[in-house]
Amino acid sequence: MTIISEDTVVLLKDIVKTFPGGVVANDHITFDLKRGEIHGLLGENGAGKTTLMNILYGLYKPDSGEIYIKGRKVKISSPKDAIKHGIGLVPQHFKLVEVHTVIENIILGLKEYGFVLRVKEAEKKILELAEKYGFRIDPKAKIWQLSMGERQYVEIIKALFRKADILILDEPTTVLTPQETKQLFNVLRKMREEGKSIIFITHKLDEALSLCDRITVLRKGKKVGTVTPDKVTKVDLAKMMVGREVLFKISKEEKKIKAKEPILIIEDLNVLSDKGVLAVKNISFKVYPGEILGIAGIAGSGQEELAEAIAGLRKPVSGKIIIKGRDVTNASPKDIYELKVAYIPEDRVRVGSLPNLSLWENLILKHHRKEPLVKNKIILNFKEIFKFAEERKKEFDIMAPNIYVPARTLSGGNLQKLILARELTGNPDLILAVYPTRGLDVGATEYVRKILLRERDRGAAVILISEELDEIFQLSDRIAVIHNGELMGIVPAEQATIEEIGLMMGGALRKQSS
Amino acid sequence: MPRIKIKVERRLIVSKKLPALISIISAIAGILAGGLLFLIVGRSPLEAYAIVAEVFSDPKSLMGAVEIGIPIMFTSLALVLPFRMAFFNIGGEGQFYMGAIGAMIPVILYWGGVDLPHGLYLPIMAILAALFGGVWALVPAFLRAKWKVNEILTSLMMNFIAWQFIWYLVSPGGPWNEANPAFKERYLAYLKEQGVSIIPGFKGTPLVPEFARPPVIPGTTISSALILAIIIAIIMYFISTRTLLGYEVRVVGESELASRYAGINYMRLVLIVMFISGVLAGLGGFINLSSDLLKLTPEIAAPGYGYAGIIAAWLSRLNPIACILVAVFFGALTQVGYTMQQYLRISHFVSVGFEGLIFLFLVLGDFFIHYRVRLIRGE
Repeated sequence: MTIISEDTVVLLKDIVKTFPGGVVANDHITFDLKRGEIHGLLGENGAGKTTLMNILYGLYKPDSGEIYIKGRKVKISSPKDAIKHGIGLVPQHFKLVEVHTVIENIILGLKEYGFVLRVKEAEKKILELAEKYGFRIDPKAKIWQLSMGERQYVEIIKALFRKADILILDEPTTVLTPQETKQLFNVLRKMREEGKSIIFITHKLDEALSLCDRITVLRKGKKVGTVTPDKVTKVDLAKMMVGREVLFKISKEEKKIKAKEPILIIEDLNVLSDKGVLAVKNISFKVYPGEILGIAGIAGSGQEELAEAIAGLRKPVSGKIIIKGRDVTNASPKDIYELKVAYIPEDRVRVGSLPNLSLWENLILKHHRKEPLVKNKIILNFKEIFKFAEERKKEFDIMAPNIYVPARTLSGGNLQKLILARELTGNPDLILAVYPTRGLDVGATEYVRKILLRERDRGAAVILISEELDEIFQLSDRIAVIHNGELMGIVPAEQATIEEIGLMMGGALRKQSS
Repeated sequence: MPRIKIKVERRLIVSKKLPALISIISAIAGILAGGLLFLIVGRSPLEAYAIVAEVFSDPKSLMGAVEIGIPIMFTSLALVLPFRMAFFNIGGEGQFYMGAIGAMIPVILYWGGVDLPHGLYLPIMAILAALFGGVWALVPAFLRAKWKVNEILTSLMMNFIAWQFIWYLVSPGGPWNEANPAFKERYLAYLKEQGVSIIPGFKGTPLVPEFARPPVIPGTTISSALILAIIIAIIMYFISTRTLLGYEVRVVGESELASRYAGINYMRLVLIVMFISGVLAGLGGFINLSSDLLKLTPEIAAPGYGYAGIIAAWLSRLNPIACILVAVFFGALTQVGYTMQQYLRISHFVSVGFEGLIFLFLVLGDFFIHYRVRLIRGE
């Protein structure tokens, strides 16, 4: 009989989960959560964090191991059981009905709100909760009108309405701006004061250190250890997580190439968003070979539309895009990549890759019409194709059993390596990297950043769109700031300060473009 | 008392053999369940099973099954490429009719007094059928590529247009009706020779003359069109696995967004793919007309070969070689139906219901390819 202290609300004991195919996602993991604590669950992608939490939430059945909730041994075979035990999960990808209101989403499936929905009562309760934990939400707003941060609160309220006192948040900050993250942390701290217990899944070291009371680190399905933030440094945590030393500062060489001719010229560009409003407003700038131009801005300020316009995927309303002296304002994506332009899209799964097709099919995309991969423009030359794919896989260190497995089996980092491998083939002159490290673990992030610097040193012009100021400062030679579709100015990186860039991102400061 | 719970889990890895195995099990389960229909009408299910066993073991019946399956081979092969690129061509039926119309042109001219060397009839009919079917299929492809018009609706609606066109051509007073005075001289003489006469008010064209019918494979009753179907299946297999076209089709089917970004010209690709699709369905119409129907009549719609092709393509998981086998299976089931009606004197509806149940089970079986069901003993 295991003796469990009263404070322990969750105890996962010796959990083992093996997936078909022999991947051991959880290898004898023991994890405990105390009442009123925020317990960080830290690990790289594929370390087993989400699997462990899915077991606690009843989505997976463990092969062996025991689960104790509030001192009692329980069996959780479905989310319904988990909810009964007071466990709430805020998933990484929100599960909300976009055309419904906040209230409707929250009371969906709750019996006590009746067949004829008791909307007023629910609204009152939502507003009470919002006030108690210090966030603002309009219960009558439709989900699609809300920012990602607000949607997260809807998911949290949903859990609270189901009387959760144990909350699991799966990578909650991936979709948030820095401000929204800060606000979320305040909310979580208030919930902790209220006696709620929170499991915070993340791979971001700073977040784990600043928010959590204890941190459990997983690596490759095994538990590395549980630590308290006051006893460890960021470097220690990274080492636990990755299993080796991690460089946080990537050495950047002095810019060597001083070219006079820009690769890309943007003139008075105006681009519409999907909703038909101006997303890019009268933007002009130039990018030169051998430099990284960082574009900083809050997500959704028009960066994505700008990149899509340059890649030929979105037709501008007015203005000019000139690549290597050629006007490509209305050119097709094919015309543009034939000018040696690489595009690393924001959406790696749907735009950047073909999830159900094999690695080789993914790797030859965009190159698939060229000799010797294809003979006489008709027949695929498998000998050359497989050689090409094997070489790319090796060069970019893509971790996969072979080139015939579907791309969906790759982890986020490896998928990004696959996209890099394809896009950087043929030494492009211009590289558009849109949020290239978003959602990646430390190791993969480091890799991607090094590759971008390598390309810059080779002489490519790189446009780096990122919401992480760290990344912008680390890599860029010049920093352009975009706010609400407008260019607030371009600052040389060595002269820029975080404060100044922050003010420009918020629209409070405008600088003459240099 | 132990509680037994049913748990459904998604399979993470699907082995290559699993779909075939599940299809076979589903078909057997469907046949067993079909026996229930016999119970309902007061007959023994064993009688039904005996007929199934007989059809599948008797070479003559199997030959008949192949024969019936030939048009479905064409209409299902036609869908391999469009379905792989997620273009849902439901218009195989109409393309099939248009093929038959195209193939009929030289025949109509012949009865009207225009002669060609006899050896040229089959190739010319095939070419016209291919062109008619192919061009007919371009319409929904163009509408989709240009204005994003839903191809399911347009291709489906074009079936009705094609069918009405046949009605117009062959109804009494229509230009292709066998009683048209233009055919009088030659066709009446031919009929007299055969000892028959035209039926007043008949909705149909004159007969396809013997020299314009594909020969049977020596020693069998099977049309040589089978050989054509097998050659096409091999070509389609080659196109979908070994060529640039097949690759681009896969890419578009997987993600239209990614294909656009990779510079694949959707308009060009969809027009090529749908033209090929229409050509194959059209050839099916030509084969059906020249080796089975022998007269173009609205009856061409009765078996629904175009629609059967959709199910057959789906059951063969868009593998062209499997299309041939699945089409034969379709033919065998039709044979089963015939035999049941003939020997058991059972209603047409029971035998069709029997076939329907088998297909239902096959479609349900798909679930088990992606999910596993486990029984868990609870406490």
